[in-house]
Amino acid sequence: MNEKLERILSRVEKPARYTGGEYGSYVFDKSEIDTRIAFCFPDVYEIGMSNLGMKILYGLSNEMPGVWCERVFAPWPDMENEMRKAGIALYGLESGDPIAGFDFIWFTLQYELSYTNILNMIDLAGLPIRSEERKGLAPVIMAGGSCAFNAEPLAPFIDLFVLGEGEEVNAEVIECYRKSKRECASKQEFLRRAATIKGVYVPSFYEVEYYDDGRIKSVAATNGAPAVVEKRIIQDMDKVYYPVKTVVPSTEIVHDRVMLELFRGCIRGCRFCQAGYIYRPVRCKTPEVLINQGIEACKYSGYEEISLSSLSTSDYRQINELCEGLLEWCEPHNTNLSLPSLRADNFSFELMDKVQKVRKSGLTFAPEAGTQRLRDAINKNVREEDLENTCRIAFEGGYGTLKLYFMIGLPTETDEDVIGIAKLAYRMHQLAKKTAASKRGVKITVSVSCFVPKPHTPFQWDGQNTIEELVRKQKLLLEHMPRGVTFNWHAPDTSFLEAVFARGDRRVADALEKAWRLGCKFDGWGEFFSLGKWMEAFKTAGIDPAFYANRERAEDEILPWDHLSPGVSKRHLRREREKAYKSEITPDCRAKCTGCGANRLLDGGKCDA
Amino acid sequence: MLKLRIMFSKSGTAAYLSHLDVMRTFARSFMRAGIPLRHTEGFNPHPYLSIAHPLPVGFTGGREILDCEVLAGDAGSVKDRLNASLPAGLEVLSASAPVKPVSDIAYAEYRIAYLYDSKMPDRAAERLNAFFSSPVIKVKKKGKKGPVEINLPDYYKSVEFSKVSDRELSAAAVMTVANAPLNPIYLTRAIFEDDLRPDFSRCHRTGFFDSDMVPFV
Repeated sequence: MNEKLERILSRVEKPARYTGGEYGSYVFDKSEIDTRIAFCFPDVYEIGMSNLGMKILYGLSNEMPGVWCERVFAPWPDMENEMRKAGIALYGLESGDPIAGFDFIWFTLQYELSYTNILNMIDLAGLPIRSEERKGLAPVIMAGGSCAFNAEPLAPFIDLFVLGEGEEVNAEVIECYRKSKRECASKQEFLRRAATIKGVYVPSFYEVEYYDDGRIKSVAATNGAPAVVEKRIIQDMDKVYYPVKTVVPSTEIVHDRVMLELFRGCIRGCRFCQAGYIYRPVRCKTPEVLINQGIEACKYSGYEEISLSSLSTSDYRQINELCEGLLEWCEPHNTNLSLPSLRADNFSFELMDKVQKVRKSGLTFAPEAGTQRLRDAINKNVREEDLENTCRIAFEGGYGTLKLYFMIGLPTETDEDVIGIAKLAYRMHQLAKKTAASKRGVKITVSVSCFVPKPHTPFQWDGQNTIEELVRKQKLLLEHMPRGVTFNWHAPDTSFLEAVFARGDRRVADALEKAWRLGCKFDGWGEFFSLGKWMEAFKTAGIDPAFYANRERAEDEILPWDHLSPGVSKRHLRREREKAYKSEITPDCRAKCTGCGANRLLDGGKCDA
Repeated sequence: MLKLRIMFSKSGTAAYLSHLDVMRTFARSFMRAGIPLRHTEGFNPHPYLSIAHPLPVGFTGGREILDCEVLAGDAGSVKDRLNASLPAGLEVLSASAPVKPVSDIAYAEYRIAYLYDSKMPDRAAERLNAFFSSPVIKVKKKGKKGPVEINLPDYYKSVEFSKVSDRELSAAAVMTVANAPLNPIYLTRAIFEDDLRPDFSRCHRTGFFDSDMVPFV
């Protein structure tokens, strides 16, 4: 470690985040490497290191001969200040080398409020933040992840985006780069070649025209790029790379355990949920493969906990078989099994008891809306009876805490729906009083967030409630919330900003840059978020944020993300929206295929819902 | 069941691991090495591991002590198997049955490097030696109920500076650990002559001694 870095580490919080050297990190002899990648997570180490996608793509890249992929996280502001003062550029944790000299800089896009951190990290690396100002071939700045399905707000900064699952396409981009580098091709020529790879989106090859009122008039592909970029998926989940060997952090992170991905996609079709649409179609792993991967991952890492992670874990068909197989190994090895993402309607106590032999922790459910009408409108097909039954059994069985998650500001919501949340909380509270077996009673927590309309969902055309309206609804809810129930709510300010960037076009990039120059970063962290600075940035950039967040868009309007496709047809989204406005439900994909179109992405066209 | 005393070193990037980080890392390394540890019973079983006088974050250590109880296996293979499972900077030097209880530790020896960015003052080592040989040096120490004043020489047996180069001094400090061990950072804080304060210091604990100054194993 160099002395400059050693000196600043003595002054910053949690220095272990910045040193590397963890068990399982890849360290190579540079003479064997021809392609160096900086995998950047635009948030702190503790959060980035908890991300399964990063573990997969990090491990997979390092298994490619000649490739060295290193991890980079956003330094906390105390570290950033020290780095800037000492003249230390952003470096890879594995080698300590400045990433500006690498071949690739990859960003994973998980959350709109981390966009300022992306600009900040490019700047900390010592590079110009705009793609057009980076003239050379390397480093190629690339991004993927769920937010790439509306890449437009980042279009001027990122050289190319990858849509969908990166396991195969990343390797193809690396090969394309290697060939271009050998042939001394220009950056422009490399991008032209890369744009022919399925799933690659080169934003500079698309020309956008606008009407005077601000709506998009046309989006035209140039340089031979496809008119619509369709996402990539993995066909066979049993054969896809799974990182049995992961970096095991020495210092504490958020999700510090083995994570097993049971399936990709979701059968449910909740109309507000972007993940439920963009990860389609459903593809499962078999229990044998999962059991084996889980055990091997524990043995390799020394972790004493496995968590089953997928969008709706209890929808996995062979969940019992899987849990039994894992528990057979886990129990004699002091290893816990945890099951997040349970639904109140197919929740199995038998399963829960099996998994939580000793400690009965809390239960968490997300009814999302307070009345059956609104739950039907958003297609969250949970009935109050199901929730009530599940909770009664849980309370009688000795469970001590119940957490309920809701949203306000959903399309079609009335004040009655808002008050419905409080009423539902009241009924659960009464039920707990009557049936709780635990002497201490049941602690009920209600958490309410603000709805953010997302691209590629049936609500992509809907306007978000204004901040004032959301605050009014929060107050209304507070007035009706029963005593004895803990009520948490989210600040509408950050949800508003999230809405602007979730459905922004490439013009909002100017506001993003201005906000970053005003010092905005870590916007997802309450202690740093400043709506005042953001409003100033919008004003100087000549951007009306309400145009993006609060305006309802016509269904025939060209949306900024129309040329980016997750495989679900717009026709399906329109149909679902119509049904939402009639409070009509759509049964899950297992009951009946909804014809969303994502099955076309599969060889053979058969979805494994 | 086998009680084991692991002597280990902590260097490089591992210097930045906190006490809890080191405990967690060792627990996982035992798992990775396939050496089962005795766990506590109850809701949240955790392994029996204890580290004597944990090092502050940022310090390196030459001969640190970890006591543990393994359920199976022999002391002979533990060292190699653990070393294959530990991250960079943590290395097991020996694993054997403990001879004396950790409470017999009376002193800890530190090597402290003082670095001066511009040339260090004349006769710096001599001046510092004179300063630390004074019987009374009052410093403020963070206590549980706010700052308390302590007499620094009560916490060390000897502090001896020597010149390494034009910009570096090295101190050998033998600190008492019997009752209330003191972070040797307080030695630096006590220096009131500004020119003698280093621009950066590095702290390494070489090991422990019993009350007769016999190296503790």
